[in-house]
Amino acid sequence: MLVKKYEPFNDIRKSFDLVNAIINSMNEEEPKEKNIVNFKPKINTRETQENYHIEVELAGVKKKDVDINVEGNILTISGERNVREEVKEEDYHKVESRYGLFSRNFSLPEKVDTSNIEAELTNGILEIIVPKITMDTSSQNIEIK
Amino acid sequence: MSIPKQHIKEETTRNVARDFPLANFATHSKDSYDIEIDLAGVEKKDIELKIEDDYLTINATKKSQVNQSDYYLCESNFGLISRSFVLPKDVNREKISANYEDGRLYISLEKEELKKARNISIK
Repeated sequence: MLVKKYEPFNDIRKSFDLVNAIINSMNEEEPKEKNIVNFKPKINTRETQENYHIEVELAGVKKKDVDINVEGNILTISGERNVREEVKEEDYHKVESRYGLFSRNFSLPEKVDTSNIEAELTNGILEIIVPKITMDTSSQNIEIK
Repeated sequence: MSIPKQHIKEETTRNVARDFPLANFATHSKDSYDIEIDLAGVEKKDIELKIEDDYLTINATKKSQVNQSDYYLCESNFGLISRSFVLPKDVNREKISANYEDGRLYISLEKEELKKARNISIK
């Protein structure tokens, strides 16, 4: 007879292992999406009589790394924050800022002029100005023929 | 003696930092250090950098031309920003330089000449 150590919980442990294996395999199979983001920048939004303003906090991001896109009524601000060229990534010993891809979406109101959206990046703040379409409010009388 | 409550509130909030800026620390070699501080939306003239004893302190004010109640959504913090760092003993205090670019302050520190690592040639 084979002498074995008595382990009453072995079967239970094995079933746990099986469950863990299933969970792990599911994680691996998850497709890595391209548009996954690393962080969401802080934003402020406001409205004036003529425009809608969106301010995005993007400290240390260059103009060329930001992409603003309008599709239908969805305005997307996306881009990437990279480590400075002068500094190697492995030189950092404490990093509090978030690096990598970022993205934020906004649904625009109906009456906006999407072809005249302006954006400006100053001191790490990206300001996007979305002009409203001004309706001619002067009343018009219609003659009855 | 009674102080109006409103007054107390104003007094206490005026000199209290609202935001703690994020910073990144890098060491290039054994002789130089870099600190990067995120200060999005702060103008260069509103940043004050000072050395006091062994502390490097940065004070900044983030101003807004817009009344904060006009924002629908306001995730930023406005007002005073402050953070202090302990300077290593061997840093040359005369050689600290700072550069502000794209809403980020880059501070570079260098060791004193005497304390720098150097190779000694063997004769």
